[in-house]
Amino acid sequence: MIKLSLEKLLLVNFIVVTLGTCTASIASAADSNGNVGDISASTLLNMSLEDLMNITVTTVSNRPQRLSQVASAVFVITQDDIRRSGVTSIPEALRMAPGVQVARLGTDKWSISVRGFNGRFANKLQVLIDGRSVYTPLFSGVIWSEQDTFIEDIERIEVIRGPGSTIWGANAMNGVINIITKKAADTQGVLLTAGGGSFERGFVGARYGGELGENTPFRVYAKGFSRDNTTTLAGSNANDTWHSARTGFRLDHTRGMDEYTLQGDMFISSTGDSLTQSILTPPYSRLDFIDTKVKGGNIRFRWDRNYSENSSTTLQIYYDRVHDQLMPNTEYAESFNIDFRQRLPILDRHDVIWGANYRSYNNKVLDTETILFIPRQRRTTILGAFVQDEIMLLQDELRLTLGVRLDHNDLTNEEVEVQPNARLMWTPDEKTSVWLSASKAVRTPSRGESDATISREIMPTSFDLPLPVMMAVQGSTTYGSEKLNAYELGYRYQFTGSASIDVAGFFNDYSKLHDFNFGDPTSTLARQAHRATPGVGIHQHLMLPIFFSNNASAHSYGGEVSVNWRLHERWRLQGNYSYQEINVNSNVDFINIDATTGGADRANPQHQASFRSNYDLSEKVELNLWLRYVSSLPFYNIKEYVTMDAKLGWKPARNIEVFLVGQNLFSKNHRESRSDYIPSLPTRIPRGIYAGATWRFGN
Amino acid sequence: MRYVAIVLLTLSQGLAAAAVDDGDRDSMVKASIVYNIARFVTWPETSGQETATNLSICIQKDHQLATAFSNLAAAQGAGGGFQLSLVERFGVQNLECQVAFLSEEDLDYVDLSAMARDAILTVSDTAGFANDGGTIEIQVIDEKIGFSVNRLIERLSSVLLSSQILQLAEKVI
Repeated sequence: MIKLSLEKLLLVNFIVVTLGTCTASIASAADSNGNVGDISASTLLNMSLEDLMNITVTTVSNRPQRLSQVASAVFVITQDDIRRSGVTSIPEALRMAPGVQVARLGTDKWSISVRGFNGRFANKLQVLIDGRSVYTPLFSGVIWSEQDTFIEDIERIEVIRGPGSTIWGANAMNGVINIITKKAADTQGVLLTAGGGSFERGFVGARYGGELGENTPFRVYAKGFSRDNTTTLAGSNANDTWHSARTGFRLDHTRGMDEYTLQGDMFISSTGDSLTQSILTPPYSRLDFIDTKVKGGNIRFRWDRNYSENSSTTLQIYYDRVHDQLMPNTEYAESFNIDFRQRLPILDRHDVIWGANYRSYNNKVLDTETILFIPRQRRTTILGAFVQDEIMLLQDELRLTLGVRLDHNDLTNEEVEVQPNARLMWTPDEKTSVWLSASKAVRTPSRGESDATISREIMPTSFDLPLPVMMAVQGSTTYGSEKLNAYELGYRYQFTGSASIDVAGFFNDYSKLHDFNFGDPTSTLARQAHRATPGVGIHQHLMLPIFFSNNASAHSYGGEVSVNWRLHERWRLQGNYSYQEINVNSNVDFINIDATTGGADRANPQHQASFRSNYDLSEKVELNLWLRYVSSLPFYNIKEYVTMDAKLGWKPARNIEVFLVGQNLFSKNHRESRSDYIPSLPTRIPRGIYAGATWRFGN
Repeated sequence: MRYVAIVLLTLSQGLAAAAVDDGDRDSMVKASIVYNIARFVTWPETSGQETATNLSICIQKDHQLATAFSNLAAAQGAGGGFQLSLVERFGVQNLECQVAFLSEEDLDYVDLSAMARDAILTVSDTAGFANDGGTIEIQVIDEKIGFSVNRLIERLSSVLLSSQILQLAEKVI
């Protein structure tokens, strides 16, 4: 069925693209007379300002244009992209970016990485929401179910592929995802949204933006949703139905050259999981259904002083706290951060940014049968400083950027991590840019890698084994940072005002990557069982420890191509293709056990493609289609898949949108990946249909 | 791989077509908006320009909107509402400008305060322009072109924006 549908799709694509080509050619001919599309220059001259401001345009905003001058692989997902795609969460929006691997593991779980090494706690990616790092120190990854905001308030998501450590800090090894919300002044008035359907059972959201004074705009929002469960491979309920409520605010104040922002969010979620727990008594594993609540909040203060257009000072302070009863069972995880940055021009040709930051993590993790932390509570700190100089070698043509960051982390044995980078940007003309870079980045150990013991599997008793054997991954304080030397090359070309192409290639040389080694089996009391369920009894067993080591190495290479093309004023196409090859040199005992390093060559898709068509059928009706392809994951025996999302939108009035969205339309359900470290049952992601409406007024 | 081929084929068709698509409609709309805003501006008498008649708009000759402005200027015919000056570089020969449309690169060397004191209305579509000392920042918001006004700079430059302009502005700083 899929094959037939795709062939039809190809035919339809070919026809519409060919027709579009003819249309574009006709429009082009009209341009030579100074007329544009169906509006002549003289008509434009005679139109009122109000009418001109009501013409729909699809020019990319200035920020992405400025980013196009950055010597790194950057992709920007705009608010319009998000709205047209019909996605309801940040992780789903990230599928639009090239080079980003997004795999849904359940209703509330995702694996997300950039340029490979994906996993549920993928640890080579830095993620920030309005400059606030949401990277958990427990597993050096991001718990995506905790990361959300009022989706309509997102201004853009910048996805930077390749190391960004100089500016963004350690762990921005393979990439950085920067989620930026709109200023309060840009979210004035009331916005109401609501809807529901099958997988997206129901959602509701409200935002109000007003002013406390002439220079003090603010907004408040509240939202809630309920999402259905996924199914296990056997077809049963995976027990991961997800309900969540979130509220937040933002207050901006401008006084002279100073800008202040105070922003905060709070959330509570109810969710669940189906876990295959290893136990020391027959049958040695047990399926547990866990229901739990997750709650958290954060507050952020930022002060900017703009001395001139290229001279400024920024101070940002934030505090974040999460309580999560799912694994890891986190009684609390706090982070406190102070960032200071200054930008100053020196000697005309130099644009210098320097900064320093202090970050403190304090967390307490309660024991479960699967994971325990010793000590349960620990506070760790990171101190960092960086300087970067952008040097104009040839006016408007050649820029060299040199930077270095120094980080000190409690969990690393090394005194200071040094992360330098050099980037060269050549813009021979306004339409063309070529860049190359060489960077060194590190990924510092997580607290889990230092302090946790994770029960992986129980080998039952047999004739040769009088006691059950527990294989358990044990953290090590001697475990050090992973290292990366990265080399990148990029090319961008703006064909006309309506089409552009962006190509990037990379070669990543990893050393001291995390690996595993078996230790010597020892007889011990079942500390895990005893601590997790006091009074139940102690089961003697053999412990086969598995230690973290830094013995693996790898190199990966690949590239991404993205094309942005506006066929005419009502039709825009965006496509991208990503390719990567990973070669790992690691302990052969674990290449079929460890998906995060030893099996990374088979647990990450080699090919990915995304193709979006945003078409305005009329002033009031739009049809947006999004086709995606992801190649197979042999490590998990998951086949390649192709799927499509579609959104039909209708605007009966300027401020009202009614929409119908279909997600994962090509099959009833499909597999994307599975959980590593945490033994959640593998699931199938279902097709979803939902409808809704958005109403804006008072702005 | 078959699916990849399908997507790539479609993209390649797109690129071939894009090479002949010269549609720069957005630039024309943007240029028209700049001209329309200028029509509602009053300059001090010392600048020799009280109304927008024979208004002088300057833009760097290689700017991506230069063609759009040229097309507009050509369309208005003799005795039209504005005169276009394509300058080599701002800061050297901008004395005759009432409106200066600046690129991000121009901002590297122009003195916005000095231009304001010379009663030049500075306009740009560079993000953050109004916050950074420009008078009018052209923006694309929700697929519509709008603008923000920096009133402090407007007052410094002694040009006067009409109340209609201020009402239509997305943001008045």
